[in-house]
Amino acid sequence: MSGFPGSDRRLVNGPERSVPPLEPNTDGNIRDSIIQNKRPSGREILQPRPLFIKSDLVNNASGSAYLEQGGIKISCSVYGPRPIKKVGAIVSSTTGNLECEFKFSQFSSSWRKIQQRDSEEKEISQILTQALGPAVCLHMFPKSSIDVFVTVIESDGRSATIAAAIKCASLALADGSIDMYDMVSCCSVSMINGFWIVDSDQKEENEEDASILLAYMPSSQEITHTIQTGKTSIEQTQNGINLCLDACTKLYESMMLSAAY
Amino acid sequence: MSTDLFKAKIFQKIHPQEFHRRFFSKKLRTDGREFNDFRTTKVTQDGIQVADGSSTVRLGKTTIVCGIRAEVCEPKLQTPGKGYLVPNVKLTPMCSNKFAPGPPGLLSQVVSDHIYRLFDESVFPLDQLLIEKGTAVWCLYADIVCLNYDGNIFDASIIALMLALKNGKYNTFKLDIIYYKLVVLPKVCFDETSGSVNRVKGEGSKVTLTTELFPSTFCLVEGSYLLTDPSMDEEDLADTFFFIVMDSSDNIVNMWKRGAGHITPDQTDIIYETAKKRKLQLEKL
Repeated sequence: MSGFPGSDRRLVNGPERSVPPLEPNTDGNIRDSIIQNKRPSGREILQPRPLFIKSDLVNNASGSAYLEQGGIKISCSVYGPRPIKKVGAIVSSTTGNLECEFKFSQFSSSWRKIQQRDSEEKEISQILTQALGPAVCLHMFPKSSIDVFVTVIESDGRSATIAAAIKCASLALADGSIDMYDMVSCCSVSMINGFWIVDSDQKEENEEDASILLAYMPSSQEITHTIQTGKTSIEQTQNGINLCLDACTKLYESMMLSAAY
Repeated sequence: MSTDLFKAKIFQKIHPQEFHRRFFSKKLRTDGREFNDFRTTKVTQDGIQVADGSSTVRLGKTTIVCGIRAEVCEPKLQTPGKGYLVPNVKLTPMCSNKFAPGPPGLLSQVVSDHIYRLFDESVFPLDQLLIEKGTAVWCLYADIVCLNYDGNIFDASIIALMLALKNGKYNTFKLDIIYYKLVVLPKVCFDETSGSVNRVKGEGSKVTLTTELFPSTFCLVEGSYLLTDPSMDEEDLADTFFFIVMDSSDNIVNMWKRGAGHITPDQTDIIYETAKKRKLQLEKL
């Protein structure tokens, strides 16, 4: 195994630098087809991809879930409540700690480099903690931590993958019998040519002008987290949030169905 | 849950060794298998669209996903005509509470390194990954991700990597007796003026393995019970492990005994016999 700077001796290391082969220019007519109310996948503009979600797949975890939505495949497990082991963690005597760890597998996406050392995974872990935190009754677990581990097996659209991870994690929390106010449903919308399209995949996301990611608790009708990127007018944002809320409610039904089993 | 079953579960939690010993003394195992039975093995190929090759292997409850991504890189100066195969096993806390978050732990380092040495030039010739001599070669990044850990990660990872390389979609026919069709690398051309590698339309080049590999793992509990394909509970009790890999023509490719206990010649005979039977099972997958 070679020892170039930046290599990790705990891994089997490849070459110092590698790149995917250059792709020929693909037909960029997604923008035109959106105006004609057509999407590359054949879906309606306001239709999220159908959701398959199943709980209790990892035998050693307190709770676990597996999710498929279009091309997205995500697995998640939850441990806890258990004593806080982490050195330097803030131990609060009154509330528990929710820790999320989000990981991409190397082969999971077309847009990520191999063994990328960046803060993206940490950033998404933060988003997960912020989106799920308000839903978990943390005051029920003083001095303990609830650990959520998410692994992306395949992704299709960055925002859609984060949304899927939030849904998967909240079902895993429910499967682990963690007290929650409600399960968190989540959906993303992208704006292309002034139109909002719901649950955009990678091809559509490459063309987007703006996007909104919204995490929502449908039973208590509360929003736990939202991110907007890109420039829109206030009306457009409100419109986008409403579309997200509708899609979240739809997706929530199939989450509830699998939670019931 | 009936009270008897509940009592049995508590007994298993408090005295795992005694719980298993009572089964072993009746030549049975806790999941109903006999000593030399393997768990049901299920495989799916080509499940991940973004990867260049992929497979899913389920060995009982142990679930492994292997995905391969092909990238272009410069070859080493010493070997200008050879590419790279980079297998890494990822055992995250997602798959079991045995593993800690952070950098790869001991077990994943050991398994990754062993697989790297097992898939050497005699099994996977690296000169087939050549694009342009001295300038560009393929690098196959094979990530083996565990989704549910229930023992015997060695067998599952090796089968997964084999099948991911031997991608189902393209495996419609065998080229000849010893060569098998594998991952199809995208067709590329090397542009001499710009020095770049471009993907072009057309059928890509196939990757081949000189032999298939058929792994089996055994463990020895209390020096006398030889268990085939141990589950996680059984691995915890065992002090000796025996790992053997057969190739397509019934030869032993790799053998590894680890642990402080000893194995008698009679037991090795059983191991060889079982490994041959396992080869026949795996060939049908």
